[in-house]
Amino acid sequence: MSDTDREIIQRVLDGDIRSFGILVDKHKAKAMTLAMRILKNREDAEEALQDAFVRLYHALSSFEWKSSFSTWLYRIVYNTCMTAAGKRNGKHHLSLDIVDEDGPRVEVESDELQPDMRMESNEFSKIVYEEVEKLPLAYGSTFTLFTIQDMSYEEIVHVTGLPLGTVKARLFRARTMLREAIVKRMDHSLVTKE
Amino acid sequence: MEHLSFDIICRIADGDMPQNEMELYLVHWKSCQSCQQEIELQRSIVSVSHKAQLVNPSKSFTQSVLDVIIPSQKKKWYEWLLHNMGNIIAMASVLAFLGYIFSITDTGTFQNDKPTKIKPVIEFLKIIQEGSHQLGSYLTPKFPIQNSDASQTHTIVFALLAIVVLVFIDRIAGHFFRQLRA
Repeated sequence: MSDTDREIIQRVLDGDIRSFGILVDKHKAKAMTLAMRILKNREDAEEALQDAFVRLYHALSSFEWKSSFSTWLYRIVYNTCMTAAGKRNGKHHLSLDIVDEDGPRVEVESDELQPDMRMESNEFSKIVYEEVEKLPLAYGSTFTLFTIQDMSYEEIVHVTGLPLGTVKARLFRARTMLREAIVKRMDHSLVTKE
Repeated sequence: MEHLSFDIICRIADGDMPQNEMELYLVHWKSCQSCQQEIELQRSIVSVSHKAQLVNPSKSFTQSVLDVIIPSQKKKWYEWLLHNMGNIIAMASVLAFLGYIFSITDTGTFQNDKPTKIKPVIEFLKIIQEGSHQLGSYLTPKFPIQNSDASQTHTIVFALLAIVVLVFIDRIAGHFFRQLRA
């Protein structure tokens, strides 16, 4: 059975610095996926992720286990990547292309779903992956935390430092945009098949 | 017939709704094919995204993190050599270049009795020497150096050019070896 995060961290704090590599190996793929979703560039994402893990190492002794270790890790990764994205864009505050921050008030266009839309097909999966990639930074990162990291709203609040209403609004907007884009593309593919 | 709102559809799809609230929408949900499909679509999007392939960083990522947090770790001699290869090549190139210049120049001109194989090199060096002479002649009246003659000024200009070449080679070679190491 593999060691738990707590056991590995204890070994690192006891002086076995090489054990930190086990911790990095355990979390790097999910953290890299989040970094890629924010920075959209492999080189930048890897650089920011390295920076995040180094910060994590230096802050390890101050971690008090009030939240789960992974939530704390993603908070550091998220903040490091957002700072990197801000620097890259030459702005302190990112333009996030957000319309509704105060609450879920976005109306969904009432395109009826095609009854024969195949949601289990490879094509559907491909479309979903592509459309998630296209989401604006704020929505894409929140949606990634919700799905890939499987976080609750409260955990996303803890990671991003955003109010609960904003997290819900971003997630809602992300899902609205995804729904619209996916339905449009699936409809198109059904029409072209006919 | 009024359909369920998108917010309610998402909450039902996520299982994020208390039982007593769910009962309010149950009748419509069970009878409306369109809403059922919407809920199914949201479940599928989340499910597919959950299974999305994770992006792995490069193979050397963990080691590069450890290299940063363990700076006192002594590097092996060949690692040190590889790490500094850019500087070593740059230094060696410039020193060889300078050595060659001084070995073939006597009174400020190149000797013409060198083997023909290195004729293009001599021609190239002549151009550089001519350029540094002209640059020196141009700069001497503008920035006069006390107690120095024209040949000293030429040497200074030549040294400055050598430094520029050194930096250039260092950048190129450093980049090349970093790529090689990665």
